[in-house]
Order: sequence, then structure tokens, then C-alpha cells
Amino acid sequence: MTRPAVYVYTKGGKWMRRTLRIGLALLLFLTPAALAQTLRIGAAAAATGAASAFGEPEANTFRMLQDQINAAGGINGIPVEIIFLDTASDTGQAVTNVNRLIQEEDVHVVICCTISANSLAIIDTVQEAGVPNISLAAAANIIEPVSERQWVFKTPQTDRLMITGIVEDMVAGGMQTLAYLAIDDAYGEGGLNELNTAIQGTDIEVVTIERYGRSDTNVTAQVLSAVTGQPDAVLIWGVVRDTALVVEELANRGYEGQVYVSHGVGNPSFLELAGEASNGVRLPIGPMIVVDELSADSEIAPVAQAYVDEYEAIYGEGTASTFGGHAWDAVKSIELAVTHAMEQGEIDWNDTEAVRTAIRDSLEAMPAFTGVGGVFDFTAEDHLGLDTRALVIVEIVDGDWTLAR
Amino acid sequence: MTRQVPPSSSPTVVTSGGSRVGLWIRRVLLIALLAGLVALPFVADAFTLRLANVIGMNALVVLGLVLLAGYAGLASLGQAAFVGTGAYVAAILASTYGMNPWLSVVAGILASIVIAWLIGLITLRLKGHFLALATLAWGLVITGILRNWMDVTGGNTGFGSATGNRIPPLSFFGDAIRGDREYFVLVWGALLLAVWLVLNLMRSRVGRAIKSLRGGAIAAASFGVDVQRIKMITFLIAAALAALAGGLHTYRELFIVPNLAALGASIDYMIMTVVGGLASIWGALAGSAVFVLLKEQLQQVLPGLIGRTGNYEIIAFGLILVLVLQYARRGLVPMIDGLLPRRPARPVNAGAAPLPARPAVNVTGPLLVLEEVTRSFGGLTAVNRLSFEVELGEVVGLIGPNGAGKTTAFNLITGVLSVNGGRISFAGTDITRKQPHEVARLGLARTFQHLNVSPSMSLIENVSLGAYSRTRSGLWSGLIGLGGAEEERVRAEAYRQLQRVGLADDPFARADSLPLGKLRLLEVARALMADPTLLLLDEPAAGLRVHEKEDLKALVRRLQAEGVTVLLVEHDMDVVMDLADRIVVMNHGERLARGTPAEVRSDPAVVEAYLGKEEA
Amino acid sequence: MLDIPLILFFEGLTNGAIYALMALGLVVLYSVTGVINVAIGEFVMISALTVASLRDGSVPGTIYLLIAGLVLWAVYGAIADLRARRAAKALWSLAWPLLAGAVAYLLVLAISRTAMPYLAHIAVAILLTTALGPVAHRVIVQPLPRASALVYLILTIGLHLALTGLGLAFWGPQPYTLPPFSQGRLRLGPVLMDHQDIWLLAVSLLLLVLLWWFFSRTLHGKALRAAAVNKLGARLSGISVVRAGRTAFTLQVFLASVAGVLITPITKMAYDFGFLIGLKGFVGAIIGGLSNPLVAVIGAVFVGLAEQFSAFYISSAYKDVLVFLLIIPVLLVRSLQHVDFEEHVE
Repeated sequence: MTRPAVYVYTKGGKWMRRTLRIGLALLLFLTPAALAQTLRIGAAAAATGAASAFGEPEANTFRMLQDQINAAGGINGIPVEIIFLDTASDTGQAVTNVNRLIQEEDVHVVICCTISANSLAIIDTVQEAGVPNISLAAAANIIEPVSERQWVFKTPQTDRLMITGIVEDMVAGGMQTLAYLAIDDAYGEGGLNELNTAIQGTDIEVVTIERYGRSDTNVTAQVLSAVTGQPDAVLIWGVVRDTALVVEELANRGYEGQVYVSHGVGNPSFLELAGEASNGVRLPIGPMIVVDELSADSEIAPVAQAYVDEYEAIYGEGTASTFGGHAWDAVKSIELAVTHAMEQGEIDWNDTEAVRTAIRDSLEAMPAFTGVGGVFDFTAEDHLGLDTRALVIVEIVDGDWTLAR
Repeated sequence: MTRQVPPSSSPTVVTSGGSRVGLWIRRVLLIALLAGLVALPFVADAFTLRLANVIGMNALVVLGLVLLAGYAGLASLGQAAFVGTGAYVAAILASTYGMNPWLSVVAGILASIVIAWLIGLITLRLKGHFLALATLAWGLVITGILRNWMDVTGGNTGFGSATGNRIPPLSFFGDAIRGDREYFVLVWGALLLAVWLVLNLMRSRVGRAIKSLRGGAIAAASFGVDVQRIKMITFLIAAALAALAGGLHTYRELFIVPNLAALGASIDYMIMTVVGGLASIWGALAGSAVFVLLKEQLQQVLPGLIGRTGNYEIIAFGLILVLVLQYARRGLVPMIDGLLPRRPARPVNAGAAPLPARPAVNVTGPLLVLEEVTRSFGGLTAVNRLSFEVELGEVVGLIGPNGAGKTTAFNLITGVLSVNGGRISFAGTDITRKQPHEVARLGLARTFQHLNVSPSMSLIENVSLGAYSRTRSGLWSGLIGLGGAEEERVRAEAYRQLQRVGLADDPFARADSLPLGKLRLLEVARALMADPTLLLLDEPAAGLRVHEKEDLKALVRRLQAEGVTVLLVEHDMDVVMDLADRIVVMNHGERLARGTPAEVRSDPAVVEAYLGKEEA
Repeated sequence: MLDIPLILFFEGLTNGAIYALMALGLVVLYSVTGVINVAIGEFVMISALTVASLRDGSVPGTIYLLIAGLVLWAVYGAIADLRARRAAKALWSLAWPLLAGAVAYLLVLAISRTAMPYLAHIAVAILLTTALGPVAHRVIVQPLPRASALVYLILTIGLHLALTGLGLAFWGPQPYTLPPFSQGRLRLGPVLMDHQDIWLLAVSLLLLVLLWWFFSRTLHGKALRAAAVNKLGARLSGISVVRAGRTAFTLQVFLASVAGVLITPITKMAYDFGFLIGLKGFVGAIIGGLSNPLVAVIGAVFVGLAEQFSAFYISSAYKDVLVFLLIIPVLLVRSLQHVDFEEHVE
């Protein structure tokens, strides 16, 4: 029996079931068999809250892909249902949602979460349940060590890769001192950890470390503190609004060194919010953002261009971002893994656990593929599988992203 | 309504009407709840059990808030801070310092209690909402520390094996307690135990003291309750329950984040408390269940309605909070309880041994002495060098025109206001600087000009509140349900005092069913519970009808005959002239005259200042 | 750089001025009505995002909020009249809020469709947001006329949640910015200040002076103060208490909405940013014991300064912790000062 692919936004009314289950648990019996013959992907991302700038394009991409895949007849005839739940960037909510997706919705694979703290928190849950999870967050320790994270994959470049890119750019520019300004959440913490690792063996020295709050109205003190040391470069590790605020303040204080920001601002709204102050700012990011400047032999260019076109056709000109791209890569890798598994042999769609295992195994076994964010080659040793092709250094020139390196 | 078992069957037991049906419905509901809980781990799926565990842990926190906000009238907007403290202390001790997990939970509770004690020291002397604001600020502070003290707490990323701090699971004789099915037993076991303890507590002497706070601190102190201490005890219990929930959370998730302590979580607990019923112990369970299940549903339904993802359930919860407060203040469980037939009240065993009597006062000279007592507010001197005394066994009237300073004098004697100068002594003890509850414990009981009875409580419960200073049971015996014998004696004594003032017809009626005149008598009965040496009556005749005044006068005469000394602050001249042996007249904060009613009546100064005006 | 303390001082002053507007609004409302409005920060957010909507040429969600409130107002008013058996008046009570709502809607619709100068948009947004003040008082506070400060506190937490969620529904999670009132920078001694900072300080100062004049020189203001000093006496006169409360609530929302348009060009605004601004105003208000407006304003400015200096000289990570810890010594001092047992009473 095939259930029509209905996106969760339009479904509700499960409260009767839940109420009955809690109140009259004795009377209830479950009928999971009715859910057969559909690939159920459970997606939990931060559509709201601190990380909404990342999570919203992810949610949009899920919606778009579900419609696309099903319009094309599903994956080898198997319809796809993406059950989306908002984590509100909150760890407790993320854990609850993933549990619900696994236990209630009986999903075959999970895509969670937008941010590293949430992704780390759900590792135990997916490992214990034996459900493959594809994280959309940066931190490398989400998938490492692989021996303890067999069920966890991820598609975004690690923050280690990003920061290494910055450090290399600094070395190439002959810069030696760096001030680090970070948002006071897990994202900022992760950046600092990776920075300390990345500068080992180089001449670069971190001279100032300052933190600021996500909704702080004022960052003058932090910026003054950073500028006082007259560093060659300033690295701002935050998301859109706060980074824009710091960039503006740096300009106000007449800072003339190189400003680096994180890939967390890789969203058109940053250009608008930061305005002129963003001129000359550099950031490491996936190549998609400068897709029209990529060289002709880049295998990523056509995939990324297609994604940008499709996304912007639905959600408007200039709205596509690399974060949606991570979601695209996650769904695509699942699609390819399912296809690969079906090629290997018959899949019993009534046996959820078997499907989960098949997808996990296929993710590792299937051949490399080109996604929006780079060329992915998942293996038993590497659950990210990206190489340096997944990273470019972009400079903001006159309110637009331009390829710098 | 009431029937007395014939005297042949001794001891006499007074039972109330009410219906047996009401009792049985409640018993059946309780048994159904317990049966459902026993069955749940066997029949429910893992996610349902997970929700049940979340409900149980929330309910622990809410239980504390019910005590605090519902009974003691103190709100905490930082309850999550105690959850966070309990969770992090347990996790860090077990992970970093290798402490036994069970002990670490206890350590977390102790840490929370210490912090709560410090906050209480600072804020419990101030108005109630300062506690709310202080706990709110403290919640923000704790969250800030948890987020930023990375070396110890793991920072925003969280604390647990995913960030390299392996927390060992709780284990039971070597078996790790993992998975929501096993954890369910632990969480709900702890919750039901806590509910049992709190139910016991609220039926005990300390519980009565907590309930008496609802009538205001002055009333509670007038029964001899050390308001400060009782508020502190309630706050500490609430903090301990929250920390227990935190410890349980740590070992269920084995990964914790600072948001556990954040303001949003504190607000959620407050919503659960209000929805379930501010002053309802079972409401803690209901509020938590409704909140968790509703949130689950809203998160699925609302984005569809609004057409975009987002945590829109906060709109619904905000509106629910407002609407419940506006239209259903009592909350869910008390509302349902009100729909069911009333259950019979606990019977009174009138034959129970009386409470120990207060030792007879042995003073040479007057019982109460005021010497040159002065009090001013800003520039205004309300009481100026007032001196008078009350002899043992007398009825003394304190009269004066409006604004003469009578009420201020009353408040100075009872310790509600502090004295600027002069000296007050009672039964040979200097009480000038004593707190109201200390004064009350010396045998000085009072009634209130503006009635101070709990309308929803029965007569016998209202009167029982007055027994505090004559009883002894402590917190711990109250928690485990000892002290039942003493409670039986309290109720018997309350029944006797109701008989004494002539209200024993229906001791189980709600106080708000009585007319004003009888409520005044009720307050007298409550004051008599303390077996007072001196009874202070604050304008007892105000608003009474003629025949009610006659009842009151008769009662005071009877009490005097029984050896009670009475100080009567009164506006009504008839009442004072009829009752008082001696009268003290005040005007403009000073003593204008004193003497027998006849002397005062003929004093020209009094006639001019007071009686003259009155007759004009 | 020798002028760092000076820069920090001016930045702290700018933030402190905003907190001072919050603190003053909180103190005024609390002393008149006993209401501690936790939702004050949400009005900061609403006014700023309303301007953003208007500039964008779209109808701000604020108007729907206003209309919903007015409909409730109409229903409450009519029910109250019917209970009092005043049928004719009930009709009017029902009609005027609905009419007002309809007129407001048409006006806002027209405004959103015509090109208007920035300052006109700001004025409209402040007006629209301020109009929510009396509405919120009527439908949220007034149905509970004699509740304790505690119940009001919980009540406004409900308002805070609802408004935050509605802000998300209307404007989405992304931050918005507004252009400064005028471009450019001004040199004040060694310190270079944006025009917007000067606007902010000047307007805040002007408002503080106006309020001082209002409370000490006008009849209406004196009546409000009287209501604050003697609640019981004011309560006895019935109707004026409601009106005093409504005025105080409106004043508070007005201050918040002005703060919103002043601060957003500097800091940007999203649906959930208002709350923290409100909380810092709270610290100022508590320093003033929730009752002394002057001390509250000074306290709020002190909060702004403490924030900047502690972020620079102590730790930027712990600056909020330090700011909220300020409450503890304040409460300790109050607790030690306390003499009479009577203060336990609400």
C-alpha cells in the first residue's frame, strides 16, 4: 500500500492518536505495516532560532526536493516522504525530534541537524537506534572517530577545512597576527578549537580572543579590544546579523587590516545588512556561492548552477545559499544510496531496520558523486569524503561575492 | 449536614456530610492513574515512554513550583537554573571526578539547596515579586556561566560523551539503567514518592504554616509562624525537587546543554504550574502532561496553519497563560475537582486528647505595658509617647477618632511595625524589638480589622491554622506522614474552639458561606487556638448588625470570665462602653485620657475631641 | 589609544539611554498599576519591524494585531454594558473599536501603498505600536483588576510569548535593519560619533525631560502620580484607576516603540531581540526599586556603561553575567534596609 507523499507542513491531526496512546495505552495497538513502500526521510533542522539563517534554506530545499523526486516518479518508483521538524536551534528539541522521527515516524534515515551542538547531542540516539544520520553541521567531531560514529555522516565542509583555508590565505598574504571575535555559542567555540589546531606549525599568532552575544546591541568593546592589538587580520566567527554588526564596527573604528568572516554569513542578507562595510571582507565557503565564476572544467559548477536555478525559481532571485546546498547534498546522497542498494538486491520495505542498514552500507559503498558543495566520496574511514575542491576563498567586492582564491 | 455519633459510643466522632460517591470517584481515578502508570512500560512504544519521562521530570519541577507559588505565594522565574545546577553538578562530578552517579545526583541537589538558601537570604525579606526577579536574573547568570566556563561545563556545545566527557549511566546492582522503559520506573517512582511526601507535608503542621502564608505574612505570623523560615523551607524544597529532575535528566540523556537552565525553560515550568493548577499537587502532573502533549501537537499543526516552519507554539502557550489566568485562575485539576461531587471531609475525633495548655502567666504588675512608645512615618508622627498598661484578666478598650493612631499602636504591639522609641513589654518580657511570630508565641493572639480568613477552606481548617504555636511536629516528621496523632488533636481542639464561639453547627462548611458577623467569630476562634494570655481584637464590631454585636459582646464577656485578657481596639462606642473595664483614648497619636467608661465619658477633652465630633 | 575609555563611555551611554527608556516605562507602569510588564521588549521589536514593513511597501502584521485587540475590546465592552443593562451603550461600545480598527486598517493600507519619507514611516510605526498599549491594557490587564504583582508578572510573560511568536509569524526569523535618521559622523573631542548615536541620545534626553515635565507640571501627570502614591484611595474612585493604568501602559509602550526605531539603525532587529533589551531595562528598574524613576534611569545608564567597560576590561564572554549579577547587591542592600515586617505584604 502506497501512502501519498505528503509533506509534513500540511499534515496534522495526530493528536487523537497521541492522546489515545497515552491515556488508554492498554487499548491501543500499532499498525506500522501501513507505512510500507515509501522512503521516509526524517529531517530536523533549525528553521527558527539562533541558526535560522542556515536552517530556513535547508527546510526550503527539503520541500523542493521532495516535490521534484516524486514528480519524477520517485527513486526507482519508490515515493519519498520528507518529514520535517523544526529544532528551533535547541538541543533538547533536536533530541526529542530525532527520537520522534525514529520511533514514531519510523523513518529510514535522518537528516539532522543544522548546528554542531545539536548534531553532537543526537549521536547517541542514532547510534543506539541504528539509523543513518546525515548532519548538516560543520564540526569535525560529529563524524570522528568513525569507529564510534558508524551511523553518522555529514555533507558540509568541516570548520577545520574552512579555518585551514583562512590560515593558508593569511600565510599567502604574509599576515602573522590575528584577532578572533566569536559569537558566544557552540559555533564560536568550535571555530576557536579548530583555529588553535590550524595555526600550529605556522607563524600566525592569535593576539586577542573576544566573545559577543547573538542579540547584543553593541560590540564596540570587543572591537576596540581587537583593534587595540593592531593585528594583521581579524577573524569573525559568527552568523549573519552579529557578523554584520562587527564588520560595521570595525569599519567605524578605522580598522585597515584584512577582515575574515566565517562561512556562516554565506547568505545574501549579509551583503544587505553589512552594506558598504563588507567591502574587502574574505570568507572560506563552498564553491556554489560563486558558481558563475568557476572555471569551465569544474565538475561542481553545473550541479551547483542547476541547484541555484531550481531554488531561485521557487523562492526568488538571489535567495540560494550554500546551506540549502548541504541539504541538497544530503538528500541526493540518500537517493543515490537507495538506488545503489536496490541495484545490489531486493529491498524489503516492510523491514525498516533492514532498509536503515542497507542505506548506511550503501552510503559507504557507493561510488563518489558530485554535489553542490563538492565531490563526495563516503568511505568506511571517511564519513564526509570532501577534498579541497569543496572550498574557495571569496572576497566581497561592491556588495557581491567574488572568487579570490 | 453534620451528625454527631451518639455519646454512648465514645470517643465522639464528628463527620461531615459530603458524598461517599465523591470519595469513590476520586479513589477510582487515583487507582486508574496508578494502574495506567504500571501498565504503560509494558504496552507503550519507546517514544510514548520518552514523552512520559519528560512529563514526569517536568512534573517534579512543577511540584516544587506549586508549593512555592500556589501555597506560599512566591514565584520563581529561575526554576530551570536549579534544574541546570542539579544536572551539571551531577554530570561533572560523575564524569570528571568519578563520583558514584547516585551520589552525584544527591550532590547536585545539595548544591541547589545551598544556592537557593543564599538567594532566599537576600530576597525573602522583600516583597514576593523580588524573588521572581532575583531568580530570573540568577537563571540568566547560571546560563551564562554554563555557556562560557568551557573547561568545566563544555560550553554551549554541551557536556557528554560527544564532547569527550563520558558520563557513566546510573546502575542498579551492576545493571545500567538505560532506555526509556527502564528509566520510566525511576522517573515516575521518584515523582510518586515526591507527591506522597508533599501530600504528607501539606497535611502536617509545617504544611498548615505554608498554607497560612496565602492569607498574607502578617496573618501567618500572628499564628506564631516564622514566615521567613517557612518561606525558606518552601523555596529550598522547590529547589531540591528541581535539582532532582536535573540529575535524572543528566542520566537519561547522558548529554546536557546550558539551555536546560535557560529562562525559556523556567517560563515553561511556570506555564505548566498555572495550567495544572497553581495550588494543586496533582495539578503538577496534569499541567506537565498537558504542556508536553500539547506542545508536541502544536509543533506539527501550527506550521501548517501559518504556512511556514517555526516555533509558533509559543503564541498558543502565551495566550493559554493569559486566558487561564483571566478565566480559570485555579487551573485544570481544581476545576475538574470542583465538578465532581464533594468528598466528605476528614472526620473530627472530638474525644482526642487536648493540646497542651499554655502555662499560666506569672507576672507581678500589669500584663502588657507600653512606655512612651513612638512611631513616625516620614515626617508624620503616628504614635507619640503613648503609655498605658493592661492588667491580667481585664478588658481594656483602645478608642479614638479616625487617624488617631489606634491601628499603628496595634501594629507596634504585635511587632508588625517597628518602634522608633519607647518600650513595650508583655508578661514581663521586653517585646519592643521582637518579630510578630515571636510576640505571638508568647501568648498574644489577634484578630483582623480587614477579615483574614481563607474563603475556600472549611471552618475547621481555618481555625486549625491558629494552632501553630501550640504544636511541635517538624518538617521531617511531616514529610513522612508522622504527627498524625497531633493533627487529630489539633482538629479536636479546633472543633472545641468553634463550639466555644458558637460556630460548631457545621464545622466543615466553607468559610465563604458565613456572613460577616460569624466570620469575625471565626477569627476569634482561630485566635483562641493559641490559648492566648492576651487577645487583641482589631475593630471586631466593624460592619456588624445589631444582633451580631450582641453575640460578640456575649462572647467577650464569656472569655473574660474564662480568664482571657482582652485588648479591644474599637470604633463602636456602644461595644466599648459595654465591655471595657478601662478605656484608653487616643487622639493625634497621643493618649488623651484613660479611666473607667464612666470617667472617660465625662472627660471634657474626650467629649470635645471624639464624642463631640461623633455626635455632631 | 588613550581615548578608549571615552569611546566606551559614549557607547555605554547610547545603550544606557535605551535601557533608561525601558526602565522608566517599567517604573511608571509598576507604580501606577502594580504590573511588571515582561513584554516591554517585544514592543521595541514590533515598532522597528513595522517600519521595516512599511519601507518595504507591505502591510505590517502590527495592524492585524491591533484589529484583533480592538475586536476583543469591542466584545468585552459590549458584554460589560449588557451585564449592566445598558443596551444602547453596548451598541456603541461594540461599534467604536470596530470602526477604529477599520479606519486604522484602511489608513495603514493606504500608507503602505504610497511612497512616503522615512520619518513619516517612523511616525506611523510609533503611532501604530503605541496604539497597542491601551489595547493590551484593556484585553490583558483590565480583566484582572485586583491581582497581585505576581499574577501580573506571569500574565505579561504570556504576553511576551504571544508577541514573540507573532513577531516570528509576521516577520520571519531573519534580522532587519533600518537606515540611520541621517548619514554622517560627528567629532566630539577625540570621539567620532555616528549621527544616529547623537539622534538616539538627543531623543532619549528629550523624552526624559518631557516626561519629567509631564509628571511634575501637568494635571494629568500629577493625577498619575497620585494614583501611584495612594493606590487604595485611587481604587476607591473606581474609573480613574483604569484610566491611570491605561495611560501608564500606553506611555510605556510609547517609550518602547521610540526605543525600537532609535536603536535598530545601530543594531538591527529580529523577532526575538527585543527581550534582552527589555531585561536590561529591568536591571535598571530594579536598581530604582521599581519605584524611583530617577534612580531607575541612572541605574539603567549604569547598566549600559557597566556592560561596555566590563566587556572591554574584564571579559566579553561574561559581560551579561556581570550585568545581571548587579541585581544581587541591590537586593541585598534593600533587604538590609528593610525595617518593618509590614513590607512582606503585597
